[in-house]
Amino acid sequence: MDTINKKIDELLNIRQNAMVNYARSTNDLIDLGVKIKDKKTDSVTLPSSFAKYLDKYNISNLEFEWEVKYKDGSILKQFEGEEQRNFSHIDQERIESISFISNFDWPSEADKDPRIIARLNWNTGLFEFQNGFISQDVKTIACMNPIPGNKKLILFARKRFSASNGEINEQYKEFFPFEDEVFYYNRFILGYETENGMKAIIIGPNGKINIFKNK
Amino acid sequence: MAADFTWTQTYGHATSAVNSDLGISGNLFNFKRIDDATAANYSSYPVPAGEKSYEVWLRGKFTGSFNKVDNIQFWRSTDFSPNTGLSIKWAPSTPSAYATPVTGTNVCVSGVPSADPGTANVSIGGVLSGALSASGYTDYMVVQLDTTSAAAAGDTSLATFTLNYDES
Repeated sequence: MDTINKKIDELLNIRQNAMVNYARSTNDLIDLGVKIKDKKTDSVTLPSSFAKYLDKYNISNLEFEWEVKYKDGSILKQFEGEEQRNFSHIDQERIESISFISNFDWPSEADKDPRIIARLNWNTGLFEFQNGFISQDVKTIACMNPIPGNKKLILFARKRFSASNGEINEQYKEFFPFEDEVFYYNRFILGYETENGMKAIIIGPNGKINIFKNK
Repeated sequence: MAADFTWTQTYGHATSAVNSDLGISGNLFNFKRIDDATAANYSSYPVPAGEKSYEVWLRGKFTGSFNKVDNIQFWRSTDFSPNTGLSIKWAPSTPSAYATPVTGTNVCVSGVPSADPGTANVSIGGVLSGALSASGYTDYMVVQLDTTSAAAAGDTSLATFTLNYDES
């Protein structure tokens, strides 16, 4: 065998695999809800199913925001105009329900609110869901068998940021087409704990909902 | 739930330390044989094969309006490729007090975690269960490049570090 041709084939294989792996991993990251922002253009790559981000997303940069409904019918929103609220602003004695509401529209039946809503009924201790990805197993756990006892609210966001280190060798830079990128990944946790246990869900930025176990 | 996060590097002598905000994400620092807080001049201060870089003293800085930030987890998401002769050490004690960076062995005594630790591994105020309730910093994530004579000359390629936290 011509050794040069063999070497060229090897390099073509490495290059092709790298390109395919790059495309696949980028697609998989975006499907998970990771936002990849090109630092040069400031553009964020979103999954095609998330094409309907609401303007509000651009303000808070969070895929989900919480909203508390009190027993007297009043509503406390995490973001309202210029005002921003956090956990300490919630009066747990007065809660009727707490919802995480998506900042994007989700395909839904025509007469339904297209946003993803995960709502915790504070009186029953059970969850209600509208849209979003949720398996029947998760729904069964979240929507049945409340934990008895005095409830303490669990409500927070889990966020991650990454910083790179190092450089590509100067001799390779002209063949390295990638710009510096920013990665965002937020998850949203809602639930409660009592002296008898915890019941909570974790919502991914892609609308997937699971049971939250690791506090 | 609207804390603003940025990576911060502290450098300089302990008596005149400087805090430099690096940004949120991207290529924010390099391992070098100079103690400063820019990724730019690495080629002028290379780490000789078989030796160590200056320690890089990083912290997470949180500002803005929030109730609590806690459960800080730090790990290396990706390693240099290839990583022959290159290992990144860190200070598992995540010191709360700054010390002048060195090129010898100081606080960076073990390999940086290579996966999400699952529970807090970076302290706040000296304890892993610590939390911020107002603008402030995590304790230090000190990292250092340790090389052997097998390390290739030239740039290292990329390694990525991740910080994960809970915010209410």
